[in-house]
Amino acid sequence: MDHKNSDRIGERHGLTRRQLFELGAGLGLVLTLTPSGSFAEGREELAIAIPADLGGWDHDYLAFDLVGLAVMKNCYPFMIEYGVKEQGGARVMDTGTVEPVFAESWESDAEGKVWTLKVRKGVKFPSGNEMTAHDVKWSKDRAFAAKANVAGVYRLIGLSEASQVEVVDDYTVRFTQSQPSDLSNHIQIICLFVYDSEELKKHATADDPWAKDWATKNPQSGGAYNVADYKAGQEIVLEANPSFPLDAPRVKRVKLQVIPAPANRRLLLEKGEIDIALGLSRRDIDDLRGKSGIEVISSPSNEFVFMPMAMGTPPFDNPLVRRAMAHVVPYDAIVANVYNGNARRSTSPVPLDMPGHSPAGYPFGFDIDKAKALLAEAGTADGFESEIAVLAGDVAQERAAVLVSSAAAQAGIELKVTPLDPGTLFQRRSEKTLPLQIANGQMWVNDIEYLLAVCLTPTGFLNYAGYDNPRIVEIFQTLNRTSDKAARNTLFAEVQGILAADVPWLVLAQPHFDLPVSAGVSGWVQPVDGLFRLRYLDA
Amino acid sequence: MALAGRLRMPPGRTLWHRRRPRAAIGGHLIMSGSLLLAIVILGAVLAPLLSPWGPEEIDFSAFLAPPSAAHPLGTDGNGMDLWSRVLYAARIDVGIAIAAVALAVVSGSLVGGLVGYVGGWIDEVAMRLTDIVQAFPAFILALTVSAMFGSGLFNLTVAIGLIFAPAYVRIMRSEIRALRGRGFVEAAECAGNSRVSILFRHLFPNALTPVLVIAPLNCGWAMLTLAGLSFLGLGVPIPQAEWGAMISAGAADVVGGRWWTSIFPGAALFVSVFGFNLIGEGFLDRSKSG
Amino acid sequence: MLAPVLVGVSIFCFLLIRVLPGDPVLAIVPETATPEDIERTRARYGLDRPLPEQYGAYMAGVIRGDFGDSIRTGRPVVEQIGERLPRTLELVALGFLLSLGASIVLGLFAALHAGRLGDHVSRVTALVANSLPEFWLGLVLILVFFAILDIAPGPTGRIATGIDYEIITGSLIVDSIFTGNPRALVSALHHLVLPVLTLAVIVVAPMMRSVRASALEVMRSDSYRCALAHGLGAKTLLFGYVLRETMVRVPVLAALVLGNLIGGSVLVETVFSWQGFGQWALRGLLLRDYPVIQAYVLVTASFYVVAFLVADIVQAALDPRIRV
Repeated sequence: MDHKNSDRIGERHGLTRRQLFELGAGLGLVLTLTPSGSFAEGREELAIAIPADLGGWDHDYLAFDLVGLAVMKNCYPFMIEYGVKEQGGARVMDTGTVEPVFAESWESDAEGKVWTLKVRKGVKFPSGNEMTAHDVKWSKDRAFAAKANVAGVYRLIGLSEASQVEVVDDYTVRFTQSQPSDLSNHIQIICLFVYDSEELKKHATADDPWAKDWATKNPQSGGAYNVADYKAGQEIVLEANPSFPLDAPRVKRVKLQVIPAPANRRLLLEKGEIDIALGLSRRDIDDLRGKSGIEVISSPSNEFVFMPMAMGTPPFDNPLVRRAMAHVVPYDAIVANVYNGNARRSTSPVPLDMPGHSPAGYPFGFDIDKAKALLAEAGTADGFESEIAVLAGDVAQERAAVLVSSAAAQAGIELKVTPLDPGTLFQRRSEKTLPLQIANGQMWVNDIEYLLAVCLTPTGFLNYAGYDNPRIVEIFQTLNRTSDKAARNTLFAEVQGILAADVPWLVLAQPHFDLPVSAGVSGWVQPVDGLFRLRYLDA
Repeated sequence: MALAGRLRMPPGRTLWHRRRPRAAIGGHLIMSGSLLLAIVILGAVLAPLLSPWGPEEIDFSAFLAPPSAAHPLGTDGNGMDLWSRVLYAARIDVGIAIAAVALAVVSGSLVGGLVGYVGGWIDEVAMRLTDIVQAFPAFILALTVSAMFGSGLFNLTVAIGLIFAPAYVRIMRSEIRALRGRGFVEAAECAGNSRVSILFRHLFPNALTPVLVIAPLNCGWAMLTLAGLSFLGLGVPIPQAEWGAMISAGAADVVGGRWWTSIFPGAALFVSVFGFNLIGEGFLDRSKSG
Repeated sequence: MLAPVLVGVSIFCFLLIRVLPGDPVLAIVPETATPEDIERTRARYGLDRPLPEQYGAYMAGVIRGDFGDSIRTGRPVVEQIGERLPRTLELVALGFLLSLGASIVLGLFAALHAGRLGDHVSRVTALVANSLPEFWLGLVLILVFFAILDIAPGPTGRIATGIDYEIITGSLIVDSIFTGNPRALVSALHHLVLPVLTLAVIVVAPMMRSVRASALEVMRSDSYRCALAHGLGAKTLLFGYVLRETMVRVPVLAALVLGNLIGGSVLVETVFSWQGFGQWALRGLLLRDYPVIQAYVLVTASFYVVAFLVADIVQAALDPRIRV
């Protein structure tokens, strides 16, 4: 849950197939502010088209589901949150600051190992129960018991036992990590959501002590918004929570309508029936630019598209072959034709805008002759055959793969593009039997240490390439204990030097975030995790 | 896929009662159907001459371009020429349809002939199995089979063949059972011919007509099934030129007014299926009147 | 013969989806999951137990009317069927009715002109309809009636957004009439036009043939010739004899069309973004949501089997000796 992973599914595929998975496309496009507001009348209600219903209401047990995570970001009470800063005329989440929301305060000891959370007094859940330290403790006990989402990421900051979370008094909770960590704030922003424990306990049974059944089927509320109505598969109505402790959300009522086909979401936006359409295709978005009554919010994003190569399998076990591959990718054509120019060419496995990013991480350009020379050096002058797996229905992935395969053919490399349904894709990923695949990533924590943990060390769950370099592992462990900025930066540079030599991934592009909205919608804050924060919205 | 499929074929049950002496019309139908198919197949064979573009060749200057002199039917989202792709796709669609039906005819007839001849419990079991396969929703069956073995062209052929086989099992079985009691079979048995030789020398040749008569209709249906599978996203590999996949790829653009990507491949698909159906109708007419 | 076939279908389906590559558990656990997490999740859905045991537990549930919980959503499958099936039934039933009307007109027309131009024309028309890929036809209709003429709604599902409605049966027409909601009714009907038309076109051919054939049968029967010889009026002949005979066949047609279309609506649903039963199953299949696929297969197979049973019974009841 700590990454906006991987699959932008069915992005531009209209009425066709797999509409269900378009959430990836939808919410992967993170939301920013548009400095519009030319006639900000201040409407009370907004309608947003979302690509899919959420998979269930229980945050602890939610399968990876971007719609679900986004909705929950708005209706679950989160204790702390990133601040907001202005950047180039846009409002973005400031990953350098932490803002207490339902927390009164959130502080650590000098070392960064013991963290103290004070909960605001007098805040009530919609049930009327007061939110206290006991809710926090119960919620985190539940998370450890679930051994799923939260428990998984808590390991990164040395939290692995329920006993590490203690109630000090009715409004104070203490988190004692096994080690200090530079990532604690980031991880806790993701994980510190709270259930109405008194309410849930009512629905617990002997078989189901954590009321999972009930929490899955019934909307949970108490965040910036409460869930006022839920029609499964059709719509979710959110209403501003009057007990929200910070500035009250401007838009009082938000209707999230499930409209699976992107073409339909576009139509509804054009007809003015909705205000925001999530998950439109690039081409649809380009069509909408300049139409009256519609604005397209656009900004560079931290989402990156890459092609991991199976480093354990021939021919990709040979670094020369991997470097040759890096020269057969038509980078500019991908930016121009897959993303219609609304993307940036990435120049390192470390995404652009991540602190420490250096173009030295990926010193490759489209150059068939170089690729041929490298292939000859590698002893595969005649080229080879392999396949690129893409998620069936994800048009951007399909098109990028088609472009790569067509360019690779010029160097004698025959690449078959194989669309896989998600069931097969997930399995073959976990078995590591995909020689080449296209993946999308968005690091929820904008830090190289996290990137290494997640993607580039043997235990990383997004390590699709099966990358295992002892020095990288060593650097990761050092980073784990190092908070000195200069020392970290030196290590960041070294990491990218190693990556440039090893080339675990082909770095394809970093698409912009583009979001068409009806004129007058403003206030978007671009979230680092791709999950919209509705409370900043204005209309 | 003709997921409403079972309705599209003459199941020999209930729906298709025909009693029309229209062999003359049958001839016209076969002629015009053959003509349509001949055009399609000729286009597929001569594709390299008819279009300067390869079916998977990318024109980097024309992505999703409307019909023009350079690209008479426009290009798709990959910058590939639609005219060329529509032509080449016939190789896949017509080819797989015929191969799948041939597979179904051969395997279905063999199984049906054997169980019909042997009879007894084997026959019972085989019939129940075909019941099961026929009651199974066709698209689930096809999608599972193609997901199981991967989306190669060969696997698709097998998957589609599997959907069609039960109908042939039934037809061949009932033909064989009807023939079994006939004099010439008994004579052959008395003459001491082995069962295998009776089956292959005497029974199959006499039972083949009704099986072959419905084959063209099934080819049309098989083509719709293939395209339907591709439309749902699990057909041919990308960017293989195939009509269903092309319709699917352009579906989103139709609503936005970029009609050419879906409309042309669909029209080609329709014409080919229509060709098969005309021939099939003609065959039926002839067999009924003849 | 009903039950054995359905049991066979359920076993076949159960095994088939389990040998498919792809693991439903991997599709729902977060990628942070450790092998133990995955095993625990697997156990939660009983997927760690031996297959016969899983199947036994499943069928025991089915007999009680419990199809299990969806792995993806955790919601009871029965609840989701209740939501999805009525949407598809509504579409299919209307498609059938429209098609029935058209096929009676076309079929009678063809029979009355048997062997002449009118017959050939209607026959080729039916062949054309029979050759149209339904997903493409749907797109063409959308292009013409929505994108160009703008008189039909876009393929945005079953009702315009922003209209409130109450769900009782799941069929929007029935529900909006029950609740006296004309706005919802009009919008629902408007959204139904194109998908219903698409479905109707693809089933019209076999139905028309059937009508034509039975009409011809009547016209060749002795009683009809007798009536003709007695100089009964053309109207009486048409409505009293020919039409009556074809109407008698309607239940058979209905059973067959419904039995087939329930499992065959997925393409039309996809084109019009209908979110019906077929799309639900398709999604279930792609995510390997075993209980969803099993329930779908069992339900559609039941429709199919029952349809043929009904067809056979009605057929037997219409024994030619007691007809007309």
